[in-house]
Amino acid sequence: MEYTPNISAQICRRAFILPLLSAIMAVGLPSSQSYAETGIIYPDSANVSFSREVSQDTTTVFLVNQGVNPVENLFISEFTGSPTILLECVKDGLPFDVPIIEREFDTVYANRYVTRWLIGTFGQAVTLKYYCPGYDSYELCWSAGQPFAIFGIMPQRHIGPPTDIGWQQ
Amino acid sequence: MKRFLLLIMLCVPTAAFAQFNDHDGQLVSRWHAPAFGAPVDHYIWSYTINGVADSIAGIAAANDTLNNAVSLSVIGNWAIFNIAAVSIFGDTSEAAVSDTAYYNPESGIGPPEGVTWLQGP
Repeated sequence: MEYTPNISAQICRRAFILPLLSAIMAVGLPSSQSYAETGIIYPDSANVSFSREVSQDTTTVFLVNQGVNPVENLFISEFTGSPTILLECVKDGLPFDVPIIEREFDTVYANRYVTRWLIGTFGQAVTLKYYCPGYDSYELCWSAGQPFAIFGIMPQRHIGPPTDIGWQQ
Repeated sequence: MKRFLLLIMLCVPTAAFAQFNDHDGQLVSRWHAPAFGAPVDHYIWSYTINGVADSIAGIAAANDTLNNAVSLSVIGNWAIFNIAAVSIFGDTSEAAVSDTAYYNPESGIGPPEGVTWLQGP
């Protein structure tokens, strides 16, 4: 479901943000922060770990396949305070044009957007970088200075058919 | 070139002509686990007998890849075995289908056995 920006809500948020920004600037913002999060990896046997690094307005996610076999059909779901823009994706060392398979705006929780990107199959590593536009601070990709708690990697499950079907006397 | 292609086409076996002749009408089907994907939880199978789908159906455990579940009583009866894998996450694979099995006892006559020489009168 495509989202429609709520202009009036954005105006209200901007009015609230300016004093907040002033306070934050007085304290000072870190240039970058790194988090070693395990997130929600399902199933456990996927052998995929990830970490996330957030700098000013930009979030970079690192996925590492720690297993022997390629990881099939994964997608990443990100839950942010504003619609995201994908900056780049590198999969197994090569640029990858990752499609957005779902984007929705949750009207129950204002300012919440869910974007899901289809990573597909990868053997080694994926680096996904995205940006939350519309505000002067990366705060809106977070909540109260903390990353949104809901961030998951949910493999798209798949099973092949049985093989070597036959009869015996 | 055309003759070459025709020769190749005649030599390549096709699924349409693949069949299995069962001599006693007791059908035993077998299969192997999927070549890829999530772990198998169980299999769901069925027999199509004489064109009637799901004549017999059942479930097999993940480690059970041999099934003897149908008898054909009339010579010429036939059956097809259908099977799909269900993953531990509840997803079902595409179905795999066997060749057609016919109840076709051995026909014709074999050669005499035990041929020996005896002393003459």
